[in-house]
Amino acid sequence: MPTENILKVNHLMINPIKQVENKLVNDVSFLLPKAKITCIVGESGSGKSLTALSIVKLLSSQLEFSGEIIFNRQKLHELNDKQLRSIRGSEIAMIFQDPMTSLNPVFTVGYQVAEAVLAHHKLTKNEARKITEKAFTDVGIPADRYDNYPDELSGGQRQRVMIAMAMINKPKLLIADEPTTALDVTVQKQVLDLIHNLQKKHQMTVLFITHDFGVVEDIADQVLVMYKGKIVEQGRAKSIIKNPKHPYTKALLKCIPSIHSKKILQPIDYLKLEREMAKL
Amino acid sequence: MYLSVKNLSKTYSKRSGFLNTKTSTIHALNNVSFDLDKGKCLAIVGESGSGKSTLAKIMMKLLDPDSGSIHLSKQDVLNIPKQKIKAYRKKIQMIFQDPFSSLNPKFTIGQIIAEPLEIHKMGTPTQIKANVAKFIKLVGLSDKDLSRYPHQFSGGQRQRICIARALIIEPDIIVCDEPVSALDVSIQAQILELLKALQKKLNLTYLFITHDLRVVKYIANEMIVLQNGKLVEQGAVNQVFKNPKTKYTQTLINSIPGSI
Repeated sequence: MPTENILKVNHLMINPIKQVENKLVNDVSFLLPKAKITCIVGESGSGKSLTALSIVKLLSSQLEFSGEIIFNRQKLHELNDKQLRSIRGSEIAMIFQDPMTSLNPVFTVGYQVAEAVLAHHKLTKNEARKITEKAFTDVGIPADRYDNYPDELSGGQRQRVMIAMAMINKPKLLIADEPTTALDVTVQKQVLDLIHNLQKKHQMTVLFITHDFGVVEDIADQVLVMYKGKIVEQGRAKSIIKNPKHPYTKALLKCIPSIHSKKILQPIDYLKLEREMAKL
Repeated sequence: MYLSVKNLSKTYSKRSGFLNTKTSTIHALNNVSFDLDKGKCLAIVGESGSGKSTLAKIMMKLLDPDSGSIHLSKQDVLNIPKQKIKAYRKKIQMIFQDPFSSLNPKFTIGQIIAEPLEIHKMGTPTQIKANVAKFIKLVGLSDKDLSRYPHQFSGGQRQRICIARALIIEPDIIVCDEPVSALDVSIQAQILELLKALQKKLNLTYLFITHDLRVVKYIANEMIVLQNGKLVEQGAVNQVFKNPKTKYTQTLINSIPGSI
């Protein structure tokens, strides 16, 4: 049986308004198989975050985009703001890179997570509190942290709060934009394990954005490699890491320091890369 | 021994409770000792809150420890008289984590790199100019960049500028406080390569603070691991990776993503 796809992106183009030539994302198409983790890998400026943001139409008003985004047979690109709001945070949830700035400092973390429940369900505040406390324990935060303010939590705990907030309405698709880049390695490992476990438990689809192939190897089923606004290689994560085909993927794999071998780091030589890509 | 740190301790007091009446002490550094030879790189590894940045600040004499001693090429660092601190800072320079906030946005790159020379009154204006041109090329930028401003550069280029600024007065030791953790992997590789090449060329000694063990393995000869201000592991990098003595070091090694 062929795997079912939950999201289909067709010919996505993003450019600043009135600068049609300046393509930030150039003809990107991909499928997200259901209940799998897909990673988008690329450097800063490769368009990986823009691609993810455009799925839920969160792009800056200075950018315009064209293309088709089909989620569960719904054409997201044709929906208006009100229709999109009912999907954002319920069927599709997001986690952002910086847990320090994505929580509001003047509200308690519990209030902010409960807000996400109340936005999509008709419940009393007490019911919402119960659901939130349950969500906190699910991500490994003691329920009595409900009344704490964001500055009273560590970076890892704040990222867990963000995950609780994203997971609370049991989304079908979770978009995680470099959720562990700002964290220490041990905390990164915990957060990656948490996302992985939640994904398995809820059979959720995850689109995970990162620049670190080490992270890809740990969690991804499928991987998309982006360079200068284009997908240059895609396929099963294991086979791409073992046997990269595109020169950019090869170059990216060579610049990760390794603890297992004494390999020499090779920073990407962009001129050479462009020459090799021209030959393809 | 070139650099010798003995029994360094530092506590911070923290006030909490109603009207800040409760005081508790936090051991940021608890009896930390290590030695380092000239031309080597020592990695200081730990998570946030482990005391690694406190150690860097004490090395730079930005902070005084409660007890302990530091000797750098036989000079007693902690008892340097006030008027000689400036001379000490000529020997030790720092590269910071965030290349976006450690460059003055109102200065041109030329002014930024020349500033240490001016502060330490090293050379005439023409000599300074020649020196700046030499060091900007050393870090892989061109002298055309000298008249540009920090916002015109990418993160990796800014970190190169920070490196040029640290190197220009030819210090003996460079304290690198997470110099690559704010950068993308490919840029990280460029900066690590650059730091390694410069170390070879100029016989530099590095104190390299990081939480990423992949970086440690790549750049350092020796390492210490700090946990809550205590030194829990010490030794040659290869030895520690092969045979970690404490459970905490093993946890750190296990946390490295991937196996590439």
